[in-house]
Amino acid sequence: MAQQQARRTGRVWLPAIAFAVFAAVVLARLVQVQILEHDRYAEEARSELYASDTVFARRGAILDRNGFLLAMSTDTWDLYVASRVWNDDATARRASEAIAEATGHDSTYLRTLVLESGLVDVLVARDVPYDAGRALLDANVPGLIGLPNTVRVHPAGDLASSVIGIMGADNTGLTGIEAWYDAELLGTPGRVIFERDTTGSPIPYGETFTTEAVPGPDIILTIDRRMQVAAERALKQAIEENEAVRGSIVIMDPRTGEILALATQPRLSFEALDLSDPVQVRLLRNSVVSDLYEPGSVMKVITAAAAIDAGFVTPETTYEDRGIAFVYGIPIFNWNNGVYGEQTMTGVLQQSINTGAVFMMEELGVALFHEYLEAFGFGRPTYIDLSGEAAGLVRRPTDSDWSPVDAAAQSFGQAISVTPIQMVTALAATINGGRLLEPRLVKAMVAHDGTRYDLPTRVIGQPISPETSETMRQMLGAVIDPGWYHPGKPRYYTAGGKSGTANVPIDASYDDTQIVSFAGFAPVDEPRVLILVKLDENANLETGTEAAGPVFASLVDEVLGYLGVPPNVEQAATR
Amino acid sequence: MTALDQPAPRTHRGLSLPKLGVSGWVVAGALIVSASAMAPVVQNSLMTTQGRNLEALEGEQTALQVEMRQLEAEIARLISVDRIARRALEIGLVPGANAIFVSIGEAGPEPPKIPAEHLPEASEPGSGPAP
Repeated sequence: MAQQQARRTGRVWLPAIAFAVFAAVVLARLVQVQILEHDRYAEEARSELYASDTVFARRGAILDRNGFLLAMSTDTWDLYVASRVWNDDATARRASEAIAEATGHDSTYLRTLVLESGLVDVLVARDVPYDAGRALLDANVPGLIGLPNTVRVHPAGDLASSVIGIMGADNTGLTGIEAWYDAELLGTPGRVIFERDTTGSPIPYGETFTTEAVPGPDIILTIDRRMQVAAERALKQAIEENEAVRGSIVIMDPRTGEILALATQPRLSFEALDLSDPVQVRLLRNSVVSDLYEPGSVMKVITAAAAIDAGFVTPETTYEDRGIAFVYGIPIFNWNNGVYGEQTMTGVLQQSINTGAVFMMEELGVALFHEYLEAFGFGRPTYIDLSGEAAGLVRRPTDSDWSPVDAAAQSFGQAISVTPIQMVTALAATINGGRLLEPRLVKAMVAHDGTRYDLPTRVIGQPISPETSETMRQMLGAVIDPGWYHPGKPRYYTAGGKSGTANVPIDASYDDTQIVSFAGFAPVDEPRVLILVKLDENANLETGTEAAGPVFASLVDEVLGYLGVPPNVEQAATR
Repeated sequence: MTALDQPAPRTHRGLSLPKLGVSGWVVAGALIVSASAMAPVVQNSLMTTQGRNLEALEGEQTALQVEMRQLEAEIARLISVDRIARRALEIGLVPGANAIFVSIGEAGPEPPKIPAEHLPEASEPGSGPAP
């Protein structure tokens, strides 16, 4: 049987070519995926494989100048409930009772809150103490979710609360140092990128890339807690005794501009803060930097410093007081309508004679007087490190509502509005050698690694010469030690100062209510502290000398004793 | 040269496998396959256990850090001026009425022990650097 031989044909190449084309397409695709677009696909794969999480940095603490804690963050939990898990009534009851027991909430309220919210995860308790929250989470309460959080605690209570300020629910500072230094205190958040499993949890020993969170630096205030306690206690007592509505005390180191104590009354309470109460909301504003007042006779110190520095008068220069001075035909009287006759410039400050201040201003001339006001920093912020600072109001000859009498009134502290911090800063310049310093509340910052950065003292001007400053110290020393009883005279230390009593201006006139103040320093030769005591609307209508002077005197004795300054009044030293 | 004519002694023997029957080889193969299959399971189990341990240790570390911060806050609260004053009154102390200043030639008491990084450069409050 003959075999038929297969005929040669080219059709066999058809599938071969088809396979070859298919292989080429696959190869091209592989080249595209694995080489040309490698980075893109690798990135997509990574995004599927890896998850990331933000690690929040620990907020820096706030300490007093000697390292005592005033504010710090402690760990808490924000508790949420997955509402779907509570669809079963028995589960909801059991879980809500467990949460209620730990948080102090009512269990019925919790169930209503969760089941009627319409949300998937419902916030049921904020800032639960760490231990209590941990115990709840470890107990596997159905539906309970815990998110770590922190809360600000104040170990010294409400001490310096108006300086420290408050935090919002989102852990950012709203007022005070917390707000001004929020960016620094916050630190730098970190990030963790990790290989995840199907539930999104990190795979043990999987690849992990970590950028460590950098905690915020601790802030060291210039505030001394002992002096702050003394100031707050003295202010509270003075307000009660003088039936004042409110008040403030500032203690500054006149050599550096550091604020050693800053007390305001009423003060905000960290624990009882209720932001739905408008009265409490007003307390968030620090009156020492935000509230304006007419300084009254304390301003005569600035007028005298300017007149002496310009060389128009000396402490011994005399003039004749007739109890009235006419400025452009408008009469200006002394505060008590008194007539003092021939007086030296020192006598003008001792007796607080308005016509004497007008005399010095007229010697200077309006333009030069205003140059000095400018040089002392009036009418602009001091740039202290607190938010909400007011610039003050200084009516100038170029203003449309300027009156020629204004300069005369300004010379004894009317027709000019200042903040307490402006007044303290200007007075510091009159006694510290003539240097206008930037007041400050922060002394240093300490980073997490222990690196300490001290904030430098900033001199922003030289309104008067060191010689004038020395003269002013002696003149103000004579005010407090005039040879007769003065309520502002400390028992153990020499001191200088000046009182002020000003009516509250209302609609281009003056109300019956008054603001009294006393600003002074001690010791006279080498001032260590400058203290401003201010009482608003004291119902007993005592003058600045009578109401605020004794507070100044007792504070000088207390804080200089605390600072270890030896008494320099002979009578006391030989007791 | 007789020695050169002698064949060299055998210094190396070829690999001799144990003499197993067919069923022996099947069992051995099954064991190897089983061990190979179990190895990832065991490894995974060990890693999971260690991961759990690690997680627990991290939790413990967090708890200790939290406790440390709570203790810091508690210490700060205990040494607050208000509390010390209150306790002083409770144990019968009264504020001094008349201070008496005495000059002595000896150094004062040691300053309080607080963290060095929080101490001011000058030990005396208010004595910052003069510009």
